[in-house]
Amino acid sequence: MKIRIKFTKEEPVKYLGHLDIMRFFQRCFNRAGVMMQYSEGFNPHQKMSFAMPLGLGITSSGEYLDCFIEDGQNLEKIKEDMNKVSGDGFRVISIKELKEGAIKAMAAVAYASYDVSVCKEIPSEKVLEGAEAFLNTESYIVLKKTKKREQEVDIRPLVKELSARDNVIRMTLSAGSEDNVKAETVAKAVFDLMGIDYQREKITMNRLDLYAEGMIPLEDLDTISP
Amino acid sequence: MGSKPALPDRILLSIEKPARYTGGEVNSIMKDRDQVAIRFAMCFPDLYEIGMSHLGMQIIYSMLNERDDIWCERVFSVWPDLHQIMKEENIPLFALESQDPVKDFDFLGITLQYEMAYTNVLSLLDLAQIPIHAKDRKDDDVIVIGGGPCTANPEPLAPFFDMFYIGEGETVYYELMDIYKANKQVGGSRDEFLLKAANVPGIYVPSFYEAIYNEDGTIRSFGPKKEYDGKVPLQILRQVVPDLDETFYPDKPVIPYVQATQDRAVLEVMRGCIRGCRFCQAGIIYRPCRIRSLDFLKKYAKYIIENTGYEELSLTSLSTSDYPYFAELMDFLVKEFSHRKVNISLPSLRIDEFSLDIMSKVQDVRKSSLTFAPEAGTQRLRDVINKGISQEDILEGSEMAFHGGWNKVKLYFMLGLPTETDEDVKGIAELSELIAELYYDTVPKEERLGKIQITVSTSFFIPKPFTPFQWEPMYQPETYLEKAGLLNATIKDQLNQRSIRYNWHDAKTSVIEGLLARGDRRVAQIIEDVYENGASFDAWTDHFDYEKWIRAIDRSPLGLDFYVYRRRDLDEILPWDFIDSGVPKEFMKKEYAKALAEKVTPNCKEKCSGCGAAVFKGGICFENKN
Ligand code: SF4
Repeated sequence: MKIRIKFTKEEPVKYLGHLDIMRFFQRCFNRAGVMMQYSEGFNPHQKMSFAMPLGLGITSSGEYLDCFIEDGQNLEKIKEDMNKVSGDGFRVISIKELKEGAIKAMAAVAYASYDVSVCKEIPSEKVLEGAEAFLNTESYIVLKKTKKREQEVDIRPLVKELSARDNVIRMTLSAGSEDNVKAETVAKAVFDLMGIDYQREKITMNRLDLYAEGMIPLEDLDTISP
Repeated sequence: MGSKPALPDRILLSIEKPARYTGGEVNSIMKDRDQVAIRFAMCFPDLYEIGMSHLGMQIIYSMLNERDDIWCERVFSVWPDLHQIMKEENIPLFALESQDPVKDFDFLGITLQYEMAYTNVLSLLDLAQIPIHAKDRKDDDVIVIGGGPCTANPEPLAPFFDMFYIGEGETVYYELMDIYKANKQVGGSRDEFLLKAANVPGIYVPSFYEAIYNEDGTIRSFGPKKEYDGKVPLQILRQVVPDLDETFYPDKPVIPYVQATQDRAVLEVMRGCIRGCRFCQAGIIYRPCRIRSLDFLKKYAKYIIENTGYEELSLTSLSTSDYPYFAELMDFLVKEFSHRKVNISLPSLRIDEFSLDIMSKVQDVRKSSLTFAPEAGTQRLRDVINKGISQEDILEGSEMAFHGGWNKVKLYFMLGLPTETDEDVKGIAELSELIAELYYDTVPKEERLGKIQITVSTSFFIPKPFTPFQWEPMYQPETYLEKAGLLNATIKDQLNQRSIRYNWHDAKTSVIEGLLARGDRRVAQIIEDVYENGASFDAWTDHFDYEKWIRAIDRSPLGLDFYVYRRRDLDEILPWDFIDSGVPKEFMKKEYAKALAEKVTPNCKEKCSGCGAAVFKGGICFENKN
């Protein structure tokens, strides 16, 4: 059966790269005794794919992984078993079975929400001011560097929601394969509108969740409720 | 229960692979720093990926952490990108688990696995803000202790270490820790502790000893300094575990997140080797050959796979085919693990019908290669080095393998062995050619899966302490390159040259390794000099800077002519003579003479040669007696 796992990636594992996380899960499944499905060939491997890469140094309370396991296993028990042998910072939040023909998490992602915490040296009124200024602009142009060239992009329409409270800027951003913007880019824009020099160490970022079109959290998309 | 990171996000985001430094791996051990009596930082002086591949470190880590009063944490060298930042910002080297500075620990244990890591030792002491010289350390400074195979000759590092643990780590660490604790409780000083430690078997405190030299630079005498006369032992007995089943084995090894070079579970089936190749240091210092019992291995294989979830298990030893219950073990592993999709990897197998049969079960024949290590190109030279493998063995093994579908062969040799002539060098090419021809003779055209691919690799012979060749000179780098050139030309002259790839090691690195391997304590000055001039990560080809070494050597009174290119006199006092490896120098001399007479010595299974290692009261010496 095909399943979707929602998990956290918090301290101290926020610096793990994509392949590191993959190896972690592969071994976590093994330790937890989960019966996985394997690819064919002399070196069979587990089939898994992640919804959306997360930048190094960003924590997340809502990451997703799709994979195939042998039928007839209790998903609630798998969750418990995995959490028993997991590593600090990785916690399985939910495991759900996917319907036949479900869209891959990777292809379904349309939005991502984040909390960007701004360091306490900056007064919260100031942060609020910057957030409001951003909401009130019609457009906000940034230079987006791709491998080959630089391109002007208006990020304002890519920000679906944005609010600030107690130095935390909460935002929902486009995260599809075509239209997308990084949380850090939006944070930079808010800093710019506050008139404060942006530096990476002035913020910490946490991804909250991923959504499909219609703001359906991925854990509810095409999943079979138990 | 994470720790507050020693490095801020700003730094972690600006360096390569930050997860090398953040800890928190599965099976790493967290304790309350206020609840332990001893904090031990266990360090592998190279990059995380290399150090985490090392079984010995995992053994000591789990063994020390077994005790509630000790918290052992891990430390690795810091890659130059971060090193520079930490120096600039005055951030001291820290241990991974607690992220606390190493300088606040009780012990810093550094495992010395290869000589080319010596500059890294200085680099990490410096980064840890620990005085580089043991003599400058005060009562509350960390005790720096060295261990690992390079302690076979610790002298080139003598000034930098408070003590060395000579031999296998499983025997006296607990005793040493107890002495430390007791000394601390009564408010004893650093020197008092060192003196007590110096009387623990296997512990060598270099500052209590001194060497006096002859005019020509050789050692006239070596022993305790006057004030320590009678208070410390004259000879340090190398530590050897008599029964491997009775020692600690890590059943819950730390699983690195950043991919280690050896990213798999490791099962040490045996320690030591019965074969006695005359160039091989491990073959002497790990005598006698000791096995782990079949029951032990079955039990631990299961534990380790269950506790790690690794998808590969590697059997290690110096020569796995010599494990007496190899067939039973493989049978068990294949049955136990095949349904769990755990691969078994089998380095260091002798190629014969039996091993080929096993390999074909656990490996993809088309992708894997056959490995032979004849080490020398002619039977004459193989007799000199006591390498018990003949041309027939290799050809027969290859022929069987070709029938089984293999078409990749790897061959390992050494150049510059004692008594080597041009004929011996050319012999390597000829042997490779014979294998290639054999392939085309054995496998009919329609069954061939492409050309045969033979890879010939040569390293340069480096005489090591505690081997019958410890008196031998090395060649100049140019001479090594001429030898490699001759071999290359010979290969290129042969019919099947296009099926044979040849690569050789760097001759300059070999010469420096030779210097460090057999140096005395005066070589420490060279290491310090070259470190101060910016050398580190010498084990990494891109980082090794020969010119820096040569400049440092030129500034020192004795150079390569003395340490590397000179034939030592059989009666000369060697810097490592104060270590009792269990195998007396007399045995080495006898073996040396037999080598020059081209006479072989039977392996320990065929016939005991009375090497002396039976004093350790274990292993092969007691298995086939009577
Ligand atoms: S005493 Fe004999 S059996 Fe034991 S290691 Fe030496 S040669 Fe081998």
